[in-house]
Amino acid sequence: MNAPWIWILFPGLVAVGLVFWPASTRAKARVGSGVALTLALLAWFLPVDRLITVVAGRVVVQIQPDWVVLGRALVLPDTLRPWVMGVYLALALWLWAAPWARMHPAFVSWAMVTTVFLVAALTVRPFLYAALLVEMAVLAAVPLLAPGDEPVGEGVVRYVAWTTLGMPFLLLAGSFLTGLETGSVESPQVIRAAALLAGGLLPWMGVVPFHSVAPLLTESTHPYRAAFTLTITTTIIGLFALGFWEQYTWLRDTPRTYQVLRLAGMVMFLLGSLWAPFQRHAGRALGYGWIAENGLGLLALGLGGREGVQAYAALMPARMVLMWALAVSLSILGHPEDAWHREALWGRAVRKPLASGLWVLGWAGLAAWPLTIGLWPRWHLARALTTFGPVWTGAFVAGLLALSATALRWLRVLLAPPASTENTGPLRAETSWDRIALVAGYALVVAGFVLPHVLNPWVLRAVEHFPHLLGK
Amino acid sequence: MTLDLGSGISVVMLALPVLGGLLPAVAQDWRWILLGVALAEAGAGVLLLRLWPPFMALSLLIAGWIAAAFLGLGQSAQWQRGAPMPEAWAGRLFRFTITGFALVLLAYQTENTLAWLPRGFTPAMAWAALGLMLTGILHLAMTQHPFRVTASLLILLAGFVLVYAYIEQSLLLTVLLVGVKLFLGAMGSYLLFAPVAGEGA
Repeated sequence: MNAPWIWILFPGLVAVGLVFWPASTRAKARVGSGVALTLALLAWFLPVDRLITVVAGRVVVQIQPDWVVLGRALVLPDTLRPWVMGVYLALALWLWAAPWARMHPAFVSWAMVTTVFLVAALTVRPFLYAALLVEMAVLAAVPLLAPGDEPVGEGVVRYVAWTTLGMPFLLLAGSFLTGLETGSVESPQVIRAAALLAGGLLPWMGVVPFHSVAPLLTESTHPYRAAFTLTITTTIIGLFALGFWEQYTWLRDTPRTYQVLRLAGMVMFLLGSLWAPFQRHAGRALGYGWIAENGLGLLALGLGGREGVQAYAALMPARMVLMWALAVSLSILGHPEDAWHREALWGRAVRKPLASGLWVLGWAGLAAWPLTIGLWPRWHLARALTTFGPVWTGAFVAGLLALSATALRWLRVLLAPPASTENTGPLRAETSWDRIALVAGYALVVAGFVLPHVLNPWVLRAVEHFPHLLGK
Repeated sequence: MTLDLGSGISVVMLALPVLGGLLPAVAQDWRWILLGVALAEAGAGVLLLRLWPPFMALSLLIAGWIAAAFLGLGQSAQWQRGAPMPEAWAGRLFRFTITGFALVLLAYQTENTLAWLPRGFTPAMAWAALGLMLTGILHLAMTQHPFRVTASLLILLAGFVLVYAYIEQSLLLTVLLVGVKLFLGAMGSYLLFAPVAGEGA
């Protein structure tokens, strides 16, 4: 028995089974989320590469961390378990709520396929092969983003194109970096490798000028599908990028790389947050929210060292919960017409108060309002940024204020009296099942604020995967 | 850049970016674009035979052709539905000019690109590989149509594989690249079978 069998092969087989299982979204979601939750729990409790006694102490088992495939290895060390747990927990949440977001049955199976490829990308050795597995994950996300019975949005084509464009750069960067673990930053080979690395990571992380794909995707496809794909892929690509800093001393020891990350992160955060309040389409606004959130991730990485990796890990639970809450509330708000522009949502709070509230609360969370899961990680980030001067802190606060304005703007739209009789038509109000998902959303957003100490052990264990960045 | 035009391989190297890059740029009929992709894959396959064991090179070649066939299947379905790729003469002329100019620039700068490529790379090989990558990227930048986008990505990958073949040769890499090509062709075809919103080239 080895760890990749449990967390890659098994869910991969389940995902393939789900692809061919002609069942409803609800049935598939039950199986998919059940499997994902089980895998998350196993990742938390089951140690890798250590002896475990089972059956009343009579049997001793040891789960090996590696699995050799075609001459290369998939290695899932014990330190990676917290991240694997986080990914599968997030997957369980997205799959569980899929029926209430009115997802196509294919969503469940392809979401699982995508996640499995991404987890495999974190484990493959040599790790430059990860680029190919991430590419597979993105291609597997196509039927998820564009189910056969709906028109294909322009965003899907651009998303696939730009992600595929990044792959060759990363593969080449990886090969150039071989043997350069301790190279000098002045060496031409290192400079070339760094340029290639940037050429690959920019489109993958949706960094300026490749950011426009996010609002395009969230506008042209269902926001739940788009938000899932963007959130899960970027989070894992961020981990993949951290792997470069962990492995290469020259990247870690060069302050300029952190300056670039901080600058890129702040530009993205400001771009996303300052543009979000001006969007007339809620899906597009969600895309800009994602850009801001992604910018925060880069900003955290730009802090460098222990502080940076801890800030990055601390942002992850909040990102997963807030993006999910925004996506599920928007899906329920837009139902049954699947229309998310401002005019369609005008006065919608009368019919869908819980969904309206969660949508606004999600934005409040992105803006670090008290009582939301977003506050603590942003608070720590703001404190860390004070060391870089008032301009950085001021820009950060300006971004948060802009996100707050977005929350208030949508609150006004949703609470306003309907503009015309067209919008007071026979809209179906929230069903009891909708309310369960929405109440779960409120609970998660608030619990992250009230019980931050529940998340702290996860953060402390997750950062152990990067001993060099922690200075060990 | 010096080429021994008496050698068949040299002719393949010289012709590859022109056929695989320029043909899809000027063609309006989707079948010509597909032919360009198939020729790019074939040329890359022939060059790969010099670097990789035959079964690995042929696997990639066949995967590229299958991916092109998937793509053709999707586009023919769209064509039969009466949804041809929207195209104007000006667009084709623009693409031809830009691609041609880029190839001329590459031919002029081939020697300088060698520093960015793995050791052992010859100028002729650099011309073939980078020419395909460059034309692939340029096409990608000039279209949003799923057929053209997928065709561009296949051309880009054909060029990239030539570069990467110098660095790495392993069974897992071949399997993953074959998987990516097949997946890409299948996804392109899938996008073409689905109704397209806001279509435009």
